[in-house]
Order: sequence, then structure tokens, then C-alpha cells
Amino acid sequence: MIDFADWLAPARRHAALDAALVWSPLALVLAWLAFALGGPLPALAALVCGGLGVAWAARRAADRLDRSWLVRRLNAREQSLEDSAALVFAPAELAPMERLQAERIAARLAVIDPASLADGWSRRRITIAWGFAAAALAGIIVWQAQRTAPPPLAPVTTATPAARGEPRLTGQRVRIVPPAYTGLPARLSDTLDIRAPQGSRIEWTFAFDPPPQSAAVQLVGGQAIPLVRNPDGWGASLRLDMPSLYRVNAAGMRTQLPAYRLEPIADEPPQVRVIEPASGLATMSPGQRSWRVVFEASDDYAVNPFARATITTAIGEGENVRFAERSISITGTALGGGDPRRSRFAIDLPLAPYGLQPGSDLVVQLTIADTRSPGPQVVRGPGVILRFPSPRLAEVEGLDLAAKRQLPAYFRSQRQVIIDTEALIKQRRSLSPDDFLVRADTIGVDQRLLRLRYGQFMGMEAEETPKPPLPTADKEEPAEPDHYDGDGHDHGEAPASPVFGDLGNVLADYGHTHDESEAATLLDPDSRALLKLALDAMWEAEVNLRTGKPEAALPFENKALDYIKRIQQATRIYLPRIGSQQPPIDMARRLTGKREGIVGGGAQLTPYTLPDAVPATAWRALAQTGAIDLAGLESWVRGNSARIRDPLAVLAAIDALRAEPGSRVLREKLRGTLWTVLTRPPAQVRRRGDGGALGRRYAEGLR
Amino acid sequence: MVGPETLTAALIAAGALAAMVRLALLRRGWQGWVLAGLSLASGLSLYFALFPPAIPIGGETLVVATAETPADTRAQPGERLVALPEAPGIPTAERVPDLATALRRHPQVQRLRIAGRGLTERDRDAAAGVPATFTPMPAPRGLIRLDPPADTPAGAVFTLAGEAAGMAGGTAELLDPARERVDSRALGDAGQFTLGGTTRAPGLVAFTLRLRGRDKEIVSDTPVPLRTLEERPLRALLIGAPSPETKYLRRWAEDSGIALRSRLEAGGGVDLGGDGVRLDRASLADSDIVILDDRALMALGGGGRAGLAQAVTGGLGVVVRMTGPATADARGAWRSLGFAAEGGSELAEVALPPLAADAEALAAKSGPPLPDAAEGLNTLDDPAPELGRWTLRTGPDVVPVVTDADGALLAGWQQRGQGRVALWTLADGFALVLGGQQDRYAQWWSQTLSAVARPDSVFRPDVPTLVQAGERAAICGIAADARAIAPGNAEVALVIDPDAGPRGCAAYWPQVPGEHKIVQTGRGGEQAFAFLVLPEAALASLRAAETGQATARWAAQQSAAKVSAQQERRSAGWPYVLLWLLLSGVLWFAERRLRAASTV
Repeated sequence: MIDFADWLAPARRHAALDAALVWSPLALVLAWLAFALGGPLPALAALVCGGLGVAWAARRAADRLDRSWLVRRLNAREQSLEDSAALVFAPAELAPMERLQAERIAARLAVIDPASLADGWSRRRITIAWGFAAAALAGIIVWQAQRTAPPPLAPVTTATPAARGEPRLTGQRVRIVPPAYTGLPARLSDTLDIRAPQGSRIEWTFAFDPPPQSAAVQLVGGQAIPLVRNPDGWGASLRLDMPSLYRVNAAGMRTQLPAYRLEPIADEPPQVRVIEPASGLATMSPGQRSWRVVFEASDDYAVNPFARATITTAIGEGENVRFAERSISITGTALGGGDPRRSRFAIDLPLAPYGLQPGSDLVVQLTIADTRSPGPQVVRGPGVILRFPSPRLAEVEGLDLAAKRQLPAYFRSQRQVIIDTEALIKQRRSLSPDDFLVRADTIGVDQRLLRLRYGQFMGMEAEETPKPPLPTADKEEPAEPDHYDGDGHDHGEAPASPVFGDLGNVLADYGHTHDESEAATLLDPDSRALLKLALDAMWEAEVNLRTGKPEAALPFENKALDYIKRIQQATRIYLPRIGSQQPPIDMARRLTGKREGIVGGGAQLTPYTLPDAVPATAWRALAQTGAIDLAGLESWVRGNSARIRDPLAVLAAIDALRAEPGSRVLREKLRGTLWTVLTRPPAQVRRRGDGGALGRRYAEGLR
Repeated sequence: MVGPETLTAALIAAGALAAMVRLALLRRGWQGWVLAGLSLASGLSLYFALFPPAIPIGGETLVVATAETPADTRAQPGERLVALPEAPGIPTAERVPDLATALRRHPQVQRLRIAGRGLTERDRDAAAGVPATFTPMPAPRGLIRLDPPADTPAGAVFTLAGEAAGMAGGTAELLDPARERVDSRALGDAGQFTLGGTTRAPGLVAFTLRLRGRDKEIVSDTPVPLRTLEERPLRALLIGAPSPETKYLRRWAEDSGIALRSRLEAGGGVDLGGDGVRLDRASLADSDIVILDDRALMALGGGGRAGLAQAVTGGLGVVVRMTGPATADARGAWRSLGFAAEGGSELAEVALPPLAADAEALAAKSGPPLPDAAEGLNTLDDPAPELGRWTLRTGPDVVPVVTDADGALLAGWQQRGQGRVALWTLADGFALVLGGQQDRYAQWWSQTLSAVARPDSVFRPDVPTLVQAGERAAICGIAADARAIAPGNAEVALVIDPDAGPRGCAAYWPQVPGEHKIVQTGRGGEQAFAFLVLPEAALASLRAAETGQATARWAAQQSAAKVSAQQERRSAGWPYVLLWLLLSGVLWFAERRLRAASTV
């Protein structure tokens, strides 16, 4: 029994190869087309698909060759097989006679080479297929080359009169290549006025007739970019960063071409919006396990899908608040069918790890960047707060209203001083010694303010003695005869500057108290002793901070905090009621009935000056026929370009008028453009006319 | 009532019938019948001799072709076609330089028919002497009426109004001299619109009124002249208690260049103003306006108010600022100054109109921000401050000068002699400044003071609001030595027409568009007044519509003249008298013959 598969294998291979040779040109052409239209990725896909298709076709061709084909082929080829090849390859058991014949034939078969059974190469089909493929490939390549080639120069629309032999601008092409991060394709501008994303590369190509010696793109009030001659024309390129005007100059050109605009479109920073929760402050419901926050970010080009969410927890109440900050990175999903300009960031925050207690807050903020390069613009979005509601305080009434259970807000800041100091110590390496000292000194100032505030409760004399906010008399205050420098006790520093609203020291100022007796009675002796200790610790901390030794200050800061906590736990602090506080009474005048000099010079108003004297003068002058100070106007416009809506238009009008100072049309144009620059003055008053003698008589006749 | 004609006819008929009967009875025969018929004819001719019939007068109709007359217009039988200079080429028409020439050339003409847009001012000057008919063409598409803004103080709001035909669904836009859109309105079926903007520095500028069709294409661009005048500083006195209102009022007055002196009474004779203001005769004569609050007015006393009223009669302006509900005494005090109003004791809410149509227009209106202004301040979305006003009932003598969006009075004035007294009914107007709308605050005070302040005899000749190059303009209110200076310094003396009355009017034909100036020597040296002349075809559709309306009016007047002329020109009676004489003579002769024959 001879295995027919062995006999078929060469023929099958041959047939498969043949089919592959016929069909693979088509796959190649398709792959190339996909590359030309869509780039490498579609090309790869097309190649894979084409390969599969060719393989399938080869397989089909090979599968057509089966046992019956082999039998038919052997019988047809070899007379010696006596049409009995089927017997040799018969799958079923043979009859004895058949077996005899089969053995005979098998012996004859042995001399036949299986490879010789295969069909010949289908040369014509292969040739035609490859021929067509070559033609198609050539066509695609030519088409591609034509597509990517720059179009011919556009004719210049503005006709400029030129003498014979004077170079004339005859063709122009502007190609704008936006920065890669914008994802915008390069485009050709229709006009020479260019408005493109900031950072774009502008490529000019010009044609002149006759060709000049040299040519340049001249930025008005700036540099000149020489145009380089190349086979295509005269070319130059510029990175668009600043708005300006430019004009094309060629050597030998007598008339100036008009100025065109170069206007960059600035990349806007991304914007973050809170979608969920609806309001910035959410209250935690009992038993809440997780919290969902959704932000939406948008940008003018693309939002970076990788953002960071900063989660800050403030746990605890009063002085005893612990802050913790951690950040997680989240990936956004693009909105609107894969539009990279808008994406949504959803955070499902499990609340358990944060250990929230009643009265604590959890703040989530999203920090998002756009794709600008270099220097992506990073924006920190609005924060949303989740608040664990604190239990309601018991209602207080009567005298208890004056007693505050909690310290006022500024009592918290000893903790803040400690946090700041710790942060400063951590950053010590990265800071220069001067910066470090300045930062330490700043914290020292905070510590000092805090010490003074706590000191009020001790009846400590304030170091600054602010002046009363309103003058009580015009006359110089008489020198105090009782007190003078060096009279044996301290008067404090000279008042530095009046502080509005700080009226706590009025009595000290006018009554010359060295002690605030009212405040001093607020605390019981034990608390006073503790507060004294706290103040001493604060003093030490302040000294160390201000001399740039935060490490040394830290233990004192902690000690002070500890004392304050103990005071808080030990006793209640009675604060003075806060209400309307009157300016101090001038005792010298009191009950005298004198009112002279009570008003100091009247309420004088500072005159108002419009910031547009320069353009307003120019605007008036342009209505006449005199000369205009164009240089002054131009420098004013450049200096104030942030306020003006379209400074380039004004500059263009100035430039045009400078080239042709006598033109009435250009003067009118500049005057019109200046209108947007003029500030609107406060509405003035127009006097009505009296109507002449007739009008006066008419008014007299009215009754 | 039986008319004389009927009575006469009855008498004549009775006489004729009696004669007929007598003649018929006299002799039976054909001669008798003939005589009877003759007597009847005689009676009839007697009647016509007394009342000649109105016979239709024959003669030609003159068809006058004016601008936009169809080229295929032909003269019908009994008509004669003439073409005025502005008419398009009509081959069969006779060209005439003007209508008067045509009427002189064709004295047989009995009627006029005007075809096309209508007669220009040149031809409407005089009556034609014959009846005229005119069917106006439909209004041309585009602007058909424009009321340009009046002279405006610097920084103030101005408005203009107009009407467009055939523009339903389009928009009217106002562009500033830099061609930025300041305001826009959608046009309805009626086509009327009002637009507004703000002025800047004093001078002459041209805004542009742009009409857009339904599909946003530009239909027309019409220049709109705007004149901002530079004024002498106003001398004002401010009297009242120190309050936010006085604070911001002083701020505005200082900023807008008013020479303000103030007396801010803090009570007990303490004056925080520091200017030592006294309301005596000399200081009132030296001031243009006095702004005082109602308490200060009451504190003046009867004598002080009488002095103030005297000064108002002499031209002073007074603004009384309400600070609380009005009492009967307060109303009496107003009346003593010359302002009659009732009510004023109830507070109502002020309806504030939006600042601008959209954010872009608001930016264009308010101009570039000050250098130190914060970004995002005073945007269109900011909530409007809530304001109250004291509701006042006023008569027709009180002229509103500031009203809210619903038309309720916020400030109004009444004339007294040469001067005016105004009442400011807005409570807490300073909230506008605090709410970011200081422009509106300044505008309202500017309007009020402009309406009330002492009149001034500045040189302001009467120039038509829209002057177009190549068109005659009548300039009034000028002196004998006035001259006009065209752009390019071409000078033309303005000759006053003695027939035009005592106002001193001269005609001026500006040839070039641009800024023209009228200069004359008056009190205090040379006085100048500039006005803008628009390019020739700037107002084409407007002038076409105006021509049509004016021609229709003119033609109606001509028709009216014709009716009276026809009554006088009833056809002559003498032929009927002759006929009656003849018939009567024949009758008499024949009757004599007949009687003679019968008796013989």
C-alpha cells in the first residue's frame, strides 16, 4: 500500500507556490496603498490581511489536488499503468484479483518521480500579475510624490507699480507648520497675513521678477530674515512667538510693499470643571464607604490623560488638627468620540483608609496638564470638600454666650508654624543660605505675631502701638510732658504705621498703660502660668527662627504647642465681645462744645488722569493736517499692547502712514483704528444751548 | 333745501311749459308746435346762460420721467413725455433741465403725471400750477430712514434710530471707526431699529451703520457722523449730607471735569466739603447748577428757597436729590422751586436694561480697560444691583430725562423761566458704582445735568443732520461774515439769504466729503463749528425713499390747488346768452308773424 500523500506532496507544494506567486502582487499593492493613504499601521494590517488571503488561496489550490486527481493524472500520464492507478491508492480492501493487479502496477509506479506529476508554472498569469502590480506601484509612488510636493507659488494679488528692471514680487507661498504637540497638520496659508498657533514654523517662499540681488523678510521694528535662493524660489522660515508685522523687501525695490501680520495664537491653559458632586462642599452621609468625584478637563489642543489628584485630609478639631496629603495618579477618558481636547477623570475614593472622624474634612483637587512642549501648562483645579459633619454643640445662652468653648481660628497657627518649620528643615539642602534665612525669618515673624496675640491674654504690652485710624484734630498733639525717652520705663517702639481696625490698644496709647488689666483678668492663675510658659517657649523659638536655626527652634515650638493644648484643656478663655468700636475720644475737647478744626482740610479728591494722553493727542492731531509723533505713538502702543484688543492693526496703520505721511486716507484709517485704543472717559456734561434771542424770549413767555 | 339752480330750473320750466301750452292752444298746426319747441329750447338756453355747464377741459398730460423710470415708458395718446436730468435714457423722451422748463415749453399742458422715484428738491420748490399725480414706487431695499445721534458729550452714550425696508430677518449693526461691532439689532417686519454706542474724546468721527440680509450678506454700509463737543467746565455746587451718594457723585464730577464745590453737612454746622459754599445771590449767579438733597432744601427755609427760585428763573439749574420718602412739606418745597409732582412716598424697584447685547459689544462699548483693572471684572454676567426709586406722579410739564427699562421716571425736569429744576428720584444710586456699573451711573448724572444746567450761548449753527457731497445744505444761525472751509482749506463765504427770515440762513453746496468747518467771528474771537459731509452716494436708498415721500406730498398739494381752480373756471356763459337771445328773437318774431297771420 503506497501512501498517496507522499505522491501528492510535491504537486501540492508546486500548486501552492504557483497560487502564491499569482496573488501576492495584489497583496503587496494593497499594502502599499494602505501605507500611502494611512501610514505604517494600516499598511502592516493590510500586509497581514493580504498574506492571509494569499495563504488561503494557496491552500485552496493545494487542496484541489486529491486522490482522484492523482489517479487521473497517473492514468493520463503513464500508459504502463493500464488505467489501474486507482487500485494502488484504493482506500478500501481489494478483491484478490485487484490486489494482484495493484501489486503489478505498484512495481511500475516505483520508477515514476512524484515531482514530475505537478502542473507546469502558470507563467502567463504570474507575469501579468506582477506586471500589473509593478504598474500600480509605480502609479501610487508617482501620486504620492505629487501629493507631498508643495504646490506652485500663488500669484501675488496686490499689484504694485514697478519700473522696468525693478524686482517685483510675483509669487508667494506660506506654509505653516504648527508645533507637533498641537496635532494640527501643516497647512498653506491663502494670504500673507498669518495667524497660527504659537511656536509654529512659518516657511515663506517668494518669487521675484526679475530676480533681485538679495531679499529679506523684514519684521517691522525688528530683525530682518534674509531670503535664501533655492530652486523653488526665495525661502525663509521663522518660529512664530511674538506678534509683529512684516514686509518683503528685495534689493532694488523702490516702493515698499504693504506690511502683513504675524499673529500667534497663544496656547490656553487647560480648564478643570467639577462634574460630580454638584456643589463644592459635600456632607458625608452616615455609613458612606466611598466617594465619587468626577472632573472634566478641557484644553484647546489636548489634555494630558495622566493627571494627579491631591487628597488632603484635615482630621481633628480646634488646635488638634492633623493634616495629611497624598496624591494618586489617575487616567482620564477622552470625551466626544476620542476628542483629546476634552477628557473626564473619575475618582472612586474609598474612605476607610483615611480614618475620618467627625468634624474632619477631605479635600480632593485635580492637577492637570496639557501637552504643550516644552513646558506643559499645569493647572490645579478647584477643590471639592467632603465634610464629616461634627455633632452639634449644645445650645448656650445667657452669660455662657461670652464664653467660647473653642479657641478662635488664629490659635491654630502654632501647629502651622511647626509644619512650616519641619518643611523648611526638609528643604534645607535645596535652598541657598540666603533663601533659607529669609524663609526661617518669615516663619519667625509668624511665630512673633502668634506670641503677641497670645500675649494679649497675659496683658502683655504690645510691641507695636498703632495710631488711631482717624485724626481727631488737625493740630499737632502737644508733647507729653510726663514722659520722655529714658524716663525709667519703656514706652515701646515708635508707631510704625497705623493699622486699620486694630483698636485694642487705644487705651494703652492714650492712657499710657503698661498693662492691659481688662485682658489680664481673663485667665485664672494656673492658666496664666501655663500661658507664660508657652510664651517663653515661643520667644525662644522665635529667636532661633530669626537667626536661621529652625532645628533649634523646633523643640520650643513643640513645647509651646503642648502648653497651649494644656491651657485649652484646663480652662475656658473669656474673650471680649466683638462689636462696633468707636474712634477714640479726644478728651481735651470733650464737653467743650468747640468744633473748630474738627474737619481736617475737607475731603480732597485726587484728580483723575486718563492713561491715554498719547493716543488721544494723536487722535486729535490726525483730524488736522499737522505732523504726528508716530514714533511716540508706536512705542506707546507697544508698551500697552496687553490692554489693546488688536495692537497689530494699530501698528500696521502707523507703519502704513509712516511710509506715506501725506495720505489723507491713511490718516483717516489710523484715526479710526485709534478709536479702539482710546479709553472711555467718565460721561461728561453737555451744556444746552439757550436758543438765541428767540429761545430766551420763548422761555420768558412760558408761565 | 332747494338750491338756487333747482329753483331757477323749476321757474324756467314752468314758464316754458306755460308758453308751450299757450302756443299749442293758440293754433293747431305744425307752426304752433314748432314755436312750442322753440320756447322750450329758449328756456333751456336761458338756464345754461345762468348756470353754464362744467365742460371737461381738454389738453395734454405731461409725463415726467424721474430717476429709476422704466426705460420702456411711452407717452400714451394725449400725453407728452419729458425726462429730467436724473432719469435714465428713454429714447422717446424729450430731455429737459428741470420741471419748470418743461412747463414753460409746453404751456398747453393741463396735467402732470410723475413716473419713477419722484421729483428732486430742485423741482419741488415751486407749485407747478397744474394738477399732478404720482404713485410712489415701493421703497428701495435698504436704509430708508436714519436719525443720527445728536451732539454728545465725551464718554456718554449715544443712540441712533433708523428704518430699513425689505430687510425682515436681517440685522442692523453699528460699527465704530475701527470697524468693530458695537451694537446690533435683529430687524423685524417693520424694519425699525435703534442702536447705541459710547463716545470717547471730543472730535468728529464717523460710525458705520451696516445692514445685513437674512443670510448675513452685507446690504449696505452707511456712515453715521457723530460729533463730540468740548465744553467749558460746568460750575456746580453740591449741598447735602455726607453719604455714599455724595461721595461717588463728587468722584464722578471730579473725573468728568466739573468744577464742583461742595458743602457736606455733618450736622452741628460741621462742613466736610471744605469749600465754604454759601447759597447767596452772588454764588448762585456764578454757578451753572446746584445739586442738593431734600433735607438741605428743607433746611434752606422759605427765604432761601425763594432766592433759589429767583436764580432758577434767571437760568440756574437745580437738581433736588431725594433721600427719603417725600412729605407734603417736601412737595411744597419742590413746588416753590417750580417742580410740580405728587406722590414720592413709596419705593419701587428699578428695572435696569442690560448693559449690552453680548460680551463683545460690551467690550467695544467700554473701551480698553484701565492698566490696573483686574481681569474678569464687571462682565456681562455680573448680577445687576438692586435699586429703588421713589414713585412720582407728574404732569405733562415734567420732562423725563432718565428712565428705567420700563419707562418709569428716575429723573425729570421742569422749566421755570430760563432755568430748570430737576428731581432725582433714584434711591441709593451709588449701588450702581459698587455693582460695577459706574458707567451707567455717570451716564445718568450726565444726562440729568446736561438737561438742567444753565443754558449757554455757544456757537452751534443749524446744519442738517446728514449732509451729502453734491447736495445743497441750508445752514442757519450764522453771522454775516461766516464762511465754510472744506477739507483742503478751500474757503467759501456763506451768503445769508435775506428772504429766509431772521435766523440767518445760507445755502452751501459741499463738493468733497470730509470734515467741513464753519468759521465766523463772534463774541470772544473766532468761533468754529465742524460737521461731516458724507460721500455722494452714501445715502442713496434713504434719499430715494425721502424723495418718494416728499413728491407724494407735493403732488397732493398740486391736486388740491386744481380743485379750487376748476370751480372758478366753470365754462363761460356767453354762448348760451347769445343762443338764448337768438332763440328768443326768433320766437318773438315768429310769434308776432303767427299772431299777425291769425288776426289778419
